[in-house]
Amino acid sequence: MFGAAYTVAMIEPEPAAPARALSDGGLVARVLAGGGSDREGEEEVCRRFGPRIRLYGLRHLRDEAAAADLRQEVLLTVLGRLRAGALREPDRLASYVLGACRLAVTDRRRGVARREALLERFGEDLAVAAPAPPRLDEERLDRCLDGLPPRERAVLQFTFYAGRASDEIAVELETTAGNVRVVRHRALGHLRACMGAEEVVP
Amino acid sequence: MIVTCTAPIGPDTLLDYWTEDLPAARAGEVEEHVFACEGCATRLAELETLASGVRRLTAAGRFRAAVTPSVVDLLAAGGLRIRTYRPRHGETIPCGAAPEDQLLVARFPAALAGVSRLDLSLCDERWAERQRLEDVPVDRRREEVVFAERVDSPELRVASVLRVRLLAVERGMERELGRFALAHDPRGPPGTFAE
Repeated sequence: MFGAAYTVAMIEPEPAAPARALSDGGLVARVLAGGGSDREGEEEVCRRFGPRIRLYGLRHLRDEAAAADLRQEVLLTVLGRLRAGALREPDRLASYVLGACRLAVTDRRRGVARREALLERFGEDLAVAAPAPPRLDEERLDRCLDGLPPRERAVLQFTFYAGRASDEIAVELETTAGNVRVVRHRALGHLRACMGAEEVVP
Repeated sequence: MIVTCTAPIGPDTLLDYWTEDLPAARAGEVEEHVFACEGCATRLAELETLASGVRRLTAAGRFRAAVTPSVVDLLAAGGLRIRTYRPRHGETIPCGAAPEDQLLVARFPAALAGVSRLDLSLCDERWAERQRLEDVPVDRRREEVVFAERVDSPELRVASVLRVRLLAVERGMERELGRFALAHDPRGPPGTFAE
């Protein structure tokens, strides 16, 4: 018993857990406690949500530059709120970030510009480093595309190059929108297998 | 923090989400899941990376495929330098891709009425098939099959003849709709430049 008490007395204060190991709620608490000086915690927020915000931007704005702007704007908003302790439910950080994305895109469509004001307010004080994009073996993708049946390849080109909707592709290829979706699922399955992607069972 | 996803979203659903083929309510659910799940966000990022790769390779003219005219129009509008030929049935025409060209496009006329499946057969000098593109897209309005060939293909680096047969396929039977040849010389002569 004495030994145990002695041991306790000798223990150093526990160092802060690495930001990556924290839950969203833990991360929110850490950034708030840092009061704007916890670089690692804020960088973890950016690492965790930056790519998801970019994907949201690409999905809804279909433009790489606009998605990059959205990513910066939303991260500035979120980090500002975290520093101010204005997040009522820390465990729902992901929902909050998604809500901020939806609001930012709606505002953008209405012509409301908030990014400049946020940049002016926070400047370069907030850590909003751009994440490295996923790497792609383009030579391998080239070979994999060459191996696809013509219709599968055509659907992928229409979808990802021409940005056509399924019903528009259906008209071009004299088929139905449902069939376009089926062909696209098959094409992407072939492509992922050829590229060595892991199988995911939902 | 890495959390194992207990209900991963399947690749087909992620693709339908990306291409806006899901009902709005379901798309919203997928979005919420992706924001809360690092694993599914990573898989969506992989899908986006593949999509952008397809876009880049197509925009650069790095493909050999039968395409529709609208794709050729988009490529031309995007600034791709395209050399186009319109050989007639049974004809061999001279073809030369200049160093500045990025894509060769051949427009083959074909009577497409009643044809439900058309195969494009790439042949050797004896018209023996060496590659077949099955069930290719066609342009029924102009009665054409549009074939695009990348200019960085090994065949186009040397003098060669591109021989093509168009075949209507019905109930296992084949019917030739036309045969065409492009005699390629990497030094020229020039064809019709750009669309």
